[in-house]
Amino acid sequence: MWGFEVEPPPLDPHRWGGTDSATVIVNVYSTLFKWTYGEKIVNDLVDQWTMVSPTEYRVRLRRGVRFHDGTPLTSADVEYSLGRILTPATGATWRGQLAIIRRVEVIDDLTFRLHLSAPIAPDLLRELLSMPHTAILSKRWMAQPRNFAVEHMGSGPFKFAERRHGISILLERNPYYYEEGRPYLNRVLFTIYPDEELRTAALKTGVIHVNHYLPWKDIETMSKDPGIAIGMTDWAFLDVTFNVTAPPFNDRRVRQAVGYAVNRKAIVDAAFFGYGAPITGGVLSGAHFKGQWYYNPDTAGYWEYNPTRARELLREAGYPNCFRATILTSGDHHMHWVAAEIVQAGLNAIGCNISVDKREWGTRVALGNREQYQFAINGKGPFLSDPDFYMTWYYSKLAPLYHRPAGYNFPGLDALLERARSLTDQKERLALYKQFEQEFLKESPAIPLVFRTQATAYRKKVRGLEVLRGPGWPLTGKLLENVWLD
Amino acid sequence: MVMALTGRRLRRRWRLVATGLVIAFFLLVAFLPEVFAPRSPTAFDTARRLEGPSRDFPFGTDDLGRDILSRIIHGARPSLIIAFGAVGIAVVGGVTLGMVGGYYRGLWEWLPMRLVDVMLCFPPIVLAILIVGFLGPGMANLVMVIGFLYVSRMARVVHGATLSIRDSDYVEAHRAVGAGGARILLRGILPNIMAPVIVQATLMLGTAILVESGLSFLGLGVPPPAPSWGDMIGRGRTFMLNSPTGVVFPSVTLMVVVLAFNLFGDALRDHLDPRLRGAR
Amino acid sequence: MRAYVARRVVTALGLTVLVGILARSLIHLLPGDPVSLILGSETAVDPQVLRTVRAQLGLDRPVYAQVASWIGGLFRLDLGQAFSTGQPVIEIIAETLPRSLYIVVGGTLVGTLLGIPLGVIAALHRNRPLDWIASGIAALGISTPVFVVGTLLVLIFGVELRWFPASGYVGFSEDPSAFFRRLTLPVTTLGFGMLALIERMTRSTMLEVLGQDYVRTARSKGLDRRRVVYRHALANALVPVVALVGVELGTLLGRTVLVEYIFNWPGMATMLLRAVRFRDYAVAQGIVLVISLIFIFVNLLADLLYALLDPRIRYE
Repeated sequence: MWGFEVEPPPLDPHRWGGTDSATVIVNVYSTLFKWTYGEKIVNDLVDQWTMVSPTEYRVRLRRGVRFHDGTPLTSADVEYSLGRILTPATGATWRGQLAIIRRVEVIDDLTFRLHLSAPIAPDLLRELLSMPHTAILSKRWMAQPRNFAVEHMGSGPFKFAERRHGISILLERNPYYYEEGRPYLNRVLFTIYPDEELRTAALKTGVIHVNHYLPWKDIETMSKDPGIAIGMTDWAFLDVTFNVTAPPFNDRRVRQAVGYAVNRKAIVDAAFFGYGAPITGGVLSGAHFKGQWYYNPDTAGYWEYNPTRARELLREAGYPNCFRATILTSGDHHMHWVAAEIVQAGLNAIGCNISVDKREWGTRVALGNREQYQFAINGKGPFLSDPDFYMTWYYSKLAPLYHRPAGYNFPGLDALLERARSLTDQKERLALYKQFEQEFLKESPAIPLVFRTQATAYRKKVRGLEVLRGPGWPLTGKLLENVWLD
Repeated sequence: MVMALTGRRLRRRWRLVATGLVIAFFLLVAFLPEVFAPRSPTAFDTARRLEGPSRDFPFGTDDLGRDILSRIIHGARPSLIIAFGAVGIAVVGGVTLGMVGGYYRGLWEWLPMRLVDVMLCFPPIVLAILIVGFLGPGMANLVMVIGFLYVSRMARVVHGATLSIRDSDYVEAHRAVGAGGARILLRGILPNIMAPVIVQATLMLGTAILVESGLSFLGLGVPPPAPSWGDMIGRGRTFMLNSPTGVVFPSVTLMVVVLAFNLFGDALRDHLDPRLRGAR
Repeated sequence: MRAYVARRVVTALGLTVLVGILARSLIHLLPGDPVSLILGSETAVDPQVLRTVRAQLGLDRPVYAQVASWIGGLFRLDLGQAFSTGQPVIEIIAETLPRSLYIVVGGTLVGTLLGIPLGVIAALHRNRPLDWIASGIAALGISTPVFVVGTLLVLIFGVELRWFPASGYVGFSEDPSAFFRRLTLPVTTLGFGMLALIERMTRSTMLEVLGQDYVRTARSKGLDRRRVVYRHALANALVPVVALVGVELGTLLGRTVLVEYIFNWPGMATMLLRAVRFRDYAVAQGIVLVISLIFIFVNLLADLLYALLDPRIRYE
């Protein structure tokens, strides 16, 4: 009943395998905290959570939680699971983010102490522990080698029943689920539809009930269908990253010129059919962050479509006739290459000679990781409702990664991010992030372009489903335990 | 009797001339797109994207709000270069490999034909993805990739045709007068296998553009902003539901060109092949 | 003859192994790292994590060692495991190959059964309206990409009329009628392109044969026209058509890439495309190996059939 975009990889619960894979994992496993309606993070396995000191928490687990095989979930399973994440050999995606966990001290079956090596904002810690990659596994079950492609043992609302390679994944109701009466559904079937057209057709004809990734071009036509509801939220965004070590983009004025030469509105129209918004300042200036403690409207209005200003900046930088350059983009994603074409058109309009290098996704990623490009289009999605997400993209002490600017090294910016992460007071943190955004705009190693609206379409007979807004969007599938069909 | 004969001949000529004119027209468009195109093929207006035909845009607009008619006209050159370039490579490579493999025996039959087998084993789209992957996208690379894909197909056809005549009296006669291998191939065999080569080549002209559209559908076509018909079809398909003109008009253009090539090929073959003159 | 066949079989086996190695080398030349593709695209991955996973998948060994162990595995019918799902490649192929064959064989049947008569009609009515109609259909078939034909069929028959399911796969053993209903649209799409090729080939060879002396002699001897056309001309004209079908049947397996993609048909071509995209080396290599095996043997059969049909060709 749920349409998937790609077949999820083997689903190691501690590795990120894409939104689709996360949808399966959050339903099969429980985490210490979880997302629920209204983008709130509530207790999942945790019953009581007490901060003893900034580096020590005392945790009591929910009573009566059992794995799908009926065995009880205990502190030892938490110790094992967090330990597994921190073991390099696991290849856990969030090992870096969770490296502040020093150890788990088991007190009894339901109680343990969490020791940290450094203080961290408490809300951020709770949020990190609500991510699908922090799933709690059964220590006993994991004693034997397991193949996550076909078998799982969690304590979530559904149990993993069957995987038909290339076709579907079937989940069945977990009779032991801790919440009485939940989940309502007996079975959930995830079917894989790689082609957008087909996924939309399948939803229209009722073959699937949910399409978590509705293409923008179909939003208007689908919203006219009386049987279909659409939930939307701004989530990810596109940016241009530069190779800041090589000419012409080693000059911040040239990078800024790109920021002024691009018609962001045209990208929103062409790539997202109007479902999105230009980013006129830092990422935190996005209107959908309004109401969040980290909303930062200060920088809004910094960027505008201003070819004259772009030309001036280029002249100052010593490129009166602009330059030749190639922009790298992905040929697999319409939004990526259309954005590249509009950047190309904007720069060519002020005399540049830009070519677009459209590559198949794997090649594009590899060229990015090797930093073999001049400038490139990227998609970035915040996974946290905390500006700590900046760490993922613009922290230069990490290995080169395709969506980070190439040759990126700005110690001042790094220091701000590190400090902002370690504080517990939100006001102080916000001040640091504001400062970060100011400095970042000045350097512009990357230029944010537009936010995109993420649309999830489902048949109206699916009750209890709601699209989680903002960073909660990829985890909307967690609500399945509350869903029923009319 | 005489009248009837010239009448028929005229009609045959007429077909050759008519299809030739259509092709000449497209070649002219390809050489001088600026003369024919009402607008710039790259100027875009995203406020007017995916529109149907109108006075401003006779063929409608694409996903960036560019004029489809102008893009089709400007797309003639890249599309025809891809088609002719690829087929040129296929004819030269395929005829050589196929004739050598068909005429000789032993190693010289074995080597070219097994080479062809190996090339044919790779599914075209997959091989194209692999080659474009490490060569990088671009017109010249596309021509090479598609040409390379077609060499093996052409070689199979030529090989079959050569096999069927290699022991014919005609070739035997060449051999009897002491002609060398190259001479027999060029004078004895080549004229006699032209019919399937022409049919195959005219078919390939159309399908070459389609291979490109398939690549474009998968995101690997001619790099923008240069328009090509294949790229337009591949891209138009994405928005087929929103606005069908983006895929209909380039496809119809491609169809007209393919039809013209095929009929021209038929007529040319009839004209060249003396045996067919009195047929029917 | 028997010696010839034996020689060809041995050569064919050698070639397929060569093709397999070539396939692996080509994917290696393609930039891209299976691990970073498996670990997803939107989060940062710790370099140490990358190294760990590479080692788990055996990717830290030199390429020649990887190839050598692959060849070693061939003798045990072990083609390795998929990086993405951990499933043995041989199992993936056993599961997906029949699904692809259904649409390939179906498409070939549709294309041949409609293409040959259409070609014959066109040849017999050369330069008259029936010929033009046939040529028009063929041109349409050649100039319309499968992904356009397929999408149109889905939209018309799957979404609007709802005669056939738009996509998906149901095994024959699970529900035969659902199986055939889902098979209809992909087979039609594939058959349409095939039809065009066969029509063109049949028409041209028919014309050629009709112009040849023995047919004319037969006609002048006063033989029934129909008899001449079907007994003499068609039989001879079919020789190159058979060769074409032979070439196509093998390559169609690969050409189904787009058809399978559009109809969400979980066949071998879909697996191959995914394997290339996600650099799942072993899967891609294994599938290319199987396609080339089929291709080479189908062509061997076509060659032998050729010899059977055309007395002018001899093998020694």
